[in-house]
Amino acid sequence: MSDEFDPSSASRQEIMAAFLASELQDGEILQIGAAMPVAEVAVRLAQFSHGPNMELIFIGARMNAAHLDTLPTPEFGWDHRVVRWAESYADTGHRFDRVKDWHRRVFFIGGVQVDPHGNTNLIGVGEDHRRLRFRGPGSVGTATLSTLVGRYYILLNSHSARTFVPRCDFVSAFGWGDGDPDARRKLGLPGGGPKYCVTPLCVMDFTDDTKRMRLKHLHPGVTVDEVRANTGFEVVVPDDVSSTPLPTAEQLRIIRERADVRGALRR
Amino acid sequence: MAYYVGGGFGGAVAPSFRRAAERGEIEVWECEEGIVTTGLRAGAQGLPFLPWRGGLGTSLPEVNPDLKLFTDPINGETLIAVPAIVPQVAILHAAAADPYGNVQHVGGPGWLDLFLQRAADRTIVQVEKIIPNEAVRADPAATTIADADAVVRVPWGQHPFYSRALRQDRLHTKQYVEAATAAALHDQPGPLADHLRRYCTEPATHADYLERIGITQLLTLHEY
Repeated sequence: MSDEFDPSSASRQEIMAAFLASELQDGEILQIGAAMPVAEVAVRLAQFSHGPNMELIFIGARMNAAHLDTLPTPEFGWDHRVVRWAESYADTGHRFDRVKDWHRRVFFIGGVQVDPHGNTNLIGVGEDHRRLRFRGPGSVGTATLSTLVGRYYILLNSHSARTFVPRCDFVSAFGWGDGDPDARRKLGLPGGGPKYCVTPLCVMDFTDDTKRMRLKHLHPGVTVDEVRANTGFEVVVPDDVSSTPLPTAEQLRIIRERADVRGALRR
Repeated sequence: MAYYVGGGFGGAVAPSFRRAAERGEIEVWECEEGIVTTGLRAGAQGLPFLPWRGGLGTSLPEVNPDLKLFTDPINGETLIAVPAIVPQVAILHAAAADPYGNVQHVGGPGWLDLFLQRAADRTIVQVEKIIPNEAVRADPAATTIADADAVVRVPWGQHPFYSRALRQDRLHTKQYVEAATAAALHDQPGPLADHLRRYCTEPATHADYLERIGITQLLTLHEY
């Protein structure tokens, strides 16, 4: 393998994508929403590298893409460059005709705010909902998906104290509420909730007893202090924080030659 | 009514919507895709509400008091009652219709169209072409809406957005987003005013609008 795919050349976002891909098991059904570049690459990498039986759903376009050399990123819901490979397309509204088996799906969720218990906010920032300081895009389908899917990953394009807040001004997707490990069951939410939060600095999981964000992996070159300084609440830091595994040369080759041909994660 | 205002334009949040919402110039009925779908279903079925689970534990019932938590009388679960959504008029774009209001979407049921039509008091459908009633009778199972109140022939009527047969005009939406962003966030209303004048207020007819987009650009939307 040439130096071109030297693991040390991986960008932060490529590291995030490879980490997420390693989380995804063959045979799983992966649901990807809009504007999630790292997730777009992660699911392609997973399918191309170890997931020949995965099903990928981009907005409504459902497919197995294992046989493709590459697959572009859709820029809107019915993007022919992606939909041309779909085996089915679930239209807006019709997507919710059958949600009873969504425990089989894995999802990725973003947020303009995220709290220590993995509750996320896409509604906006401010005290008064009628006069928000920042109007966000809205809940999209995340309130329902986060309720039902088997597990999901909180995935952020930046890691700052503006995003990681002690308490979200509004919650559009319920993670672990106030941190009660039983919170989801008590509310009657069938889905498994957020598993990890993945950012350009680190990977965080949730403590067992209080479902509080806990540092799991630091990306290479990132320090605990850097994470602390950029997180607006106290992150649990265990003794055994390890480094996020680097992509292998083979993973990097698949990312750069097939999953992310345009280099969206290297900019 | 907003569950998502952004991506279709090519920006994270549609800029004019963002500004109007932040200034309180519009009232936002905060919801979510599953909730919208449920409300339209209730509207179509003449029910006061239908239950939905997605959104439990979130702020949605707080910021939208029309969404009410209630106890399901069958199993005793707490669920969200989504009130019926009944649009006065639904305006849709589809592939073809006959003069009697039989509409045939091609290549799927057509986004949220059927939910909107079923819930709305009246429906206007613009279509790429008007087809004869005989053509509808030749394939009645393809009729997706049997009772549109009005059909209008509007080729390219989806522009600048997409339909089954045509791609989104990304040049046009990008130009709009840049102009709207300048107006909403940078206090430069000029480009947006120019855009709206050129494409919305000045064209006397749909054909005039299409002339301004230009045949070269329109033909690129047929790429597949």
